[in-house]
Amino acid sequence: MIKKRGWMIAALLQVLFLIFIAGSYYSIDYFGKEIKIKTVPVDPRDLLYGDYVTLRYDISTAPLKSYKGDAAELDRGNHKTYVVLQPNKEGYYVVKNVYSEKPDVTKNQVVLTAKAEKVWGQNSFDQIQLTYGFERYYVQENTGKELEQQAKDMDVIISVAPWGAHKIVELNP
Amino acid sequence: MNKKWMRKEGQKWIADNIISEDQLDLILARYPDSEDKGKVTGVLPILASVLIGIGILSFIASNWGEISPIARLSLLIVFMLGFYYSGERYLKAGQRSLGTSLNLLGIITFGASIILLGQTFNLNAVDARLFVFWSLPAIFYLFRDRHKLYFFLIGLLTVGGQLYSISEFQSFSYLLCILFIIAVGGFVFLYPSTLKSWIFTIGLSTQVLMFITVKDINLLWFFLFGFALFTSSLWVEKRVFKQPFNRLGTLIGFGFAYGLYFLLTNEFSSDFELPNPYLFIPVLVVLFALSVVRKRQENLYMHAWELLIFMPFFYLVKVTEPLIVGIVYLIIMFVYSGFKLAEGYRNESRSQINFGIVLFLLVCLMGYFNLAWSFMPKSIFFLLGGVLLFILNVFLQRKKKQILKNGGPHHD
Repeated sequence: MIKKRGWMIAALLQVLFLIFIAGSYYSIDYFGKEIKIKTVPVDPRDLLYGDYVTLRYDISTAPLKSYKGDAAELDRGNHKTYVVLQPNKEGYYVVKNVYSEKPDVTKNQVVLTAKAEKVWGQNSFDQIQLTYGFERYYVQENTGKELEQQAKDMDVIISVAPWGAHKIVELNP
Repeated sequence: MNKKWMRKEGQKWIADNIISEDQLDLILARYPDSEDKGKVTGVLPILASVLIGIGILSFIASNWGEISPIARLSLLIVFMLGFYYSGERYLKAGQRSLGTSLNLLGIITFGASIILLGQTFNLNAVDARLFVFWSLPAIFYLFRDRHKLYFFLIGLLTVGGQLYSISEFQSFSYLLCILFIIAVGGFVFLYPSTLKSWIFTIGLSTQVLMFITVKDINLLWFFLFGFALFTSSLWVEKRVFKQPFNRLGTLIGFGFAYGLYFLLTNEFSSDFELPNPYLFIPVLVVLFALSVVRKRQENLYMHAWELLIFMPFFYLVKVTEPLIVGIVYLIIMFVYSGFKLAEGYRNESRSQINFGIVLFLLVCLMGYFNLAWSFMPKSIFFLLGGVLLFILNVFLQRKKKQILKNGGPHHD
């Protein structure tokens, strides 16, 4: 019986998986905390790839001294880190510290996971490049051009769920 | 087999009194026509279902913007289930290739759904997880139906996913590698087939190479992997792994000799880096010991020259000129391909002789190109090279014919 119906179970699992993806996306709406971050200009030729816009944020880089851990871990790219964000006076969330272990945070702070890599800063080898996973914003075909003009200076609202999932809620020029 | 051809050929046999008319009929009856027909008609449904699938997907894609996310999700699920359901129906009705290709479309729709949902919801991939989930249904169908199409799909998804992970995220996905070994390797282990074991060996080597590249490990460790592959070909009990492990391991060793020869005899050898000998040498010694022990056990002591290609001559650059080490590699390759050729002659095996001839000619040409290029006028250089190669080839082919005639051809 199980052998005969095996394909149904397999298909059902796949459907559940797809629904899970969608569900986890929508559940962020209900449980997530919205934070506002600022974009920074991107090298224009990187900006547009077909039907998505590449976004870079204020929080995409942090000074190396904000890393609470062994800095040598960041020599190789892709080290998993926990970034603690905290709102500044204007209400934008900025990087407070970067940790290699999950830290405890206060109420007004938010933790995001990011892949970190040591990169060249303004004048020395002292910056961390952080990749969060919301650097791409998919748009309808051929509408990327308009966004491109504005992407230098936008407010992006991101919703962060307690379990770390996140989504872009809106882009405000 | 072509029946028409068989009948025609059979008439000749009857004329030569090898078989009688009745015997020909009996032989022909052994090979029913249906297999041939099945092949032609089996391709058509696959083609048809691929075309339909492309049509549906491009229709959805062109109207994608107007559909709400929930409707998109439901549409994708309906198509996926439709493919799986009809695939199952046709499989039950005995239409193996049609059913399989529909199931394949279902799996492809599943992967496409994950990608499309990701775009709809602006979920950015941060690793190769997508490919892990994508290959799971394919693994289920592979072990259930044992159809080779699933096998190829999994190979494509795991190795392709790894490539994607390396190029997009500069990280090696251990999960995909494990999945590859379990699904692809496990399947070959349970249901041996030469082609599949080659695919497994090549896929495994490719992933090891990717791992070494992305982790910035000295490339010579891949040379050691080649040796390990060769050694395991001696120890592995499963026959199906023996040939690909042996051949690919040898090829990696030979490729390194080839590359090192070029590197060391040319100008740019200054930045040549060696792997840490305190780690490298012990591993190499262990592998060497393992191969020698096995060779002795199997009484294959005669073939000790096979290990020549895996000796770490590159460490000699510490004590002598790189040019000399390069020449050592040229000599090694000459000796090695010579032995290979001699072995082929001794075994009277056509494929071994051909392999040996190719290797030998390759080494000759390479040595000639590298050494004679600088001090000969170019026209003479090419002329002489061509003539040299031609004479060598004629000599080797004649020798091959002599040998094979004496003993009669042996096919591997």
